[in-house]
Amino acid sequence: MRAKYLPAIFILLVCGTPAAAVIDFTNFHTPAQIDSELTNLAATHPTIAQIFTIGTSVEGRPIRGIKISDNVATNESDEGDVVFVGLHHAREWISAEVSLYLAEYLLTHYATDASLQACMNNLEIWIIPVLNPDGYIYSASSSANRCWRKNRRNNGDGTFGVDLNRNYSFQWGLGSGSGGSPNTYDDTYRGPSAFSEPETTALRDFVGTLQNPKAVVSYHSYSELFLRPWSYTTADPPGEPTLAFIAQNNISRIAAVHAHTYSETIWYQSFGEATDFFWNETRLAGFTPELRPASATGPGSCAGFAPFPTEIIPTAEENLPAALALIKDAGCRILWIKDHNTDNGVEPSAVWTGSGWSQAFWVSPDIWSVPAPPLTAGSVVTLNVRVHNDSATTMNGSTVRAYYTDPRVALEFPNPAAILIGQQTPNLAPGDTTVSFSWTVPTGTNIWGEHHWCVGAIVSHPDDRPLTTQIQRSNNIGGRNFETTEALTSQNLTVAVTNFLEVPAEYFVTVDRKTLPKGWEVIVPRIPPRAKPNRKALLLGVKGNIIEPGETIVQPVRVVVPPYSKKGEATDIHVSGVLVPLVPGKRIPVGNGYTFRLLLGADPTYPKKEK
Amino acid sequence: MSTRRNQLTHVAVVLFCLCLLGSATVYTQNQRSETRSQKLYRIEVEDADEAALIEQELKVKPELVRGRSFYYYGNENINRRLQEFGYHPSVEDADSVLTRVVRVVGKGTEAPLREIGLTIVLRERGYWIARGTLKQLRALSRAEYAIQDLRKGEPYPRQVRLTVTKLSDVSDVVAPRIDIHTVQKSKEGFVVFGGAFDESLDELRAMGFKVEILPDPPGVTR
Repeated sequence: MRAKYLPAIFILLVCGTPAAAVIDFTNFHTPAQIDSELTNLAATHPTIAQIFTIGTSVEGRPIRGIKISDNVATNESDEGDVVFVGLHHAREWISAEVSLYLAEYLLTHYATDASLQACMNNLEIWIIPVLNPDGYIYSASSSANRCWRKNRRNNGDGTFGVDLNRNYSFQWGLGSGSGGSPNTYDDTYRGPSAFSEPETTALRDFVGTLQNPKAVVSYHSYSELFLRPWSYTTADPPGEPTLAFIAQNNISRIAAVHAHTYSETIWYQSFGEATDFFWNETRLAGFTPELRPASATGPGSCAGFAPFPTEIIPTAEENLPAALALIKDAGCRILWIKDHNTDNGVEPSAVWTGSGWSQAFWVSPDIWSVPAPPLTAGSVVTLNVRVHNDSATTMNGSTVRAYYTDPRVALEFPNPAAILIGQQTPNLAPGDTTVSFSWTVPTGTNIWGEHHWCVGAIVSHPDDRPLTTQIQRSNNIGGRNFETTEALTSQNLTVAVTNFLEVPAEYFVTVDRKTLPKGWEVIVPRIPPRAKPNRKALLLGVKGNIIEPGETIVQPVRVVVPPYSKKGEATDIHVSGVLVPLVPGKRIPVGNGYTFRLLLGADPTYPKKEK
Repeated sequence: MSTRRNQLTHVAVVLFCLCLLGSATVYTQNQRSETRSQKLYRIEVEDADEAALIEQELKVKPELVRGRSFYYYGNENINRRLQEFGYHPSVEDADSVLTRVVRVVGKGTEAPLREIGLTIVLRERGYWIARGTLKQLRALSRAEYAIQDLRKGEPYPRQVRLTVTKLSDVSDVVAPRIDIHTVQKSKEGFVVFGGAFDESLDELRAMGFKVEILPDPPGVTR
């Protein structure tokens, strides 16, 4: 008998004893109890927990959450932000319980779980168990209201409520029924307009204030699904491999706990959904776990939404590893690729200053070719990717993928236009490992006629997954440009901008003039305004160039070199830019850049002056 | 005598209905007290983002965005501001655009409700729950139907189950009509559990789908 417990005693001695969990999850909490449990948690862990409010509901109730972080009273801009949200939908009580359970787990294990603490110390974790307090209270007010889904907006026509998870602006209003109904009485009523509800605007604006957002998890129920963007279409979003890897990996983590295998698909579309909104506009990883039960079981006819209370703990337990994995991805650096020579692994590796990036981040010293550029078109070269493993253990089963694509402002990896050079699954020992690919350099030009390619490399592991497609915001992604001979001899270059967002955007192209040799100049001609101005740009007072979704704008650039320059002189010209979407709320730029290695193939030429 | 009594009853019913409609209208107007003196206008927008930007940047709150139509209560100042941005406000008849959802009580059949253009949301014993514009509801009251405010919690969707054989039917046929709670695979195909109103159930049945009505959650009375 004693021997039976020895392993457990050993584990406890080694790991330390976590602070006792005190919240009772054997039954559903009332809305007031959820509130008081949050307050108690913050009071019990004052150095690492703090209550915050993101706004008020349509009936004036505060939408509260608990922030968990070291130095909790300070907003540390260098730390990443992870947001967990429950109860968009009033009847999905279990989503609030899972959020509360996560908060308690993090707080009670912070002191004793060193690896968790290390990740949490790099993060600010924001848990909002109840986004829809009015609906929750209404749902709990009587058995007849138990199935209530929406908030409690008085629609002014005799009906109440808006479905908050059909009220975000991206693709709002395109569907009906489950996708988002125009009928006020429907449970999926999308609201009179996008972001008509204070709850959705509060979440949008709150996430917009975060300085370094990494992921958003929006808990729902039921059916046991783990969903990712897009919700509005069955087509893949940009960055699908990144999102799919996380989702599938988290499904495995969930299944490992109680053998409940969540599905990846829901079989119908939703418009105006939260995670679609966040992924589209900021490439912020968003996931929607649809919690237990798997089927319409439970007491009463509101069955699946009102599962037996005995489901709460196993549901919270099985979803915990998935949440912890995201926290680890966001907070702990294990595998990484340098974005530039001074990159020390802190994310982001560069920030948009308003007039350019603080640092060129598409010049990874960890990506190089043998032979070195300029490359000969059609030749086979060795493309090397150096991956740093900061942990003390070999990371077996890592994946390194390399892509090439046309360089363009706002490039991301992966993206729908990128071509896979290769994929390898090395075991990455502590320290540095170089992974090599054979790359046949394209013989033709990119789509705007240049021999100039951008290579992106992504390293991922089930314990360290990229959470975005943006190079500067993820250690797991690196980028570098490669030129072929022909590109080097011309003083006429081309800057290309492609809008991978599904909304129009203002774009900025900048040239880093600080790095140009004395006397050199790069002239980016002004693009004439469009015949029909974009109305969203007018509303926002935006005066810059506008690029429509899916559009590529090719802009000629002329390099002027001083008359004393000679054939064989060379320099790097960094061109970068951002897309700033034309959307309501905070407009967060996404962007990238690329570098021309310009070598004068002949003495500079100038147009003859007219006499 | 009998005829005279019938006439008096008739008048009383009509007056009763008009009173109810009046109270419903007052209720609506109270909800929009700030806008009561303003007219309803419409402009055309491209999408939801543009509508949200109008609200955010110009502080014009949409009363309703439907398709490309942005309806708002406005005045000359608001309209002038919108015109500066290239919009062309047009006056709309609020009574023909905005709708109410009400209980309709009467001994008649459903046909007059449909003829007037009401949407039958629910068909209950002794009453209907219907949606119509104020203009349609006025016409209904003239047809001797009583119009009542919804009771608290109404309308309750029916809990339904139906089986489709093709997966594409879930997204293409069922989802646009039903608030899907869950979809389960079965030997027969895909079993959908959800909530829906009679207008959608009518459509599904007309398409040949067999819809099973499940018991209401405890406490729901119809």
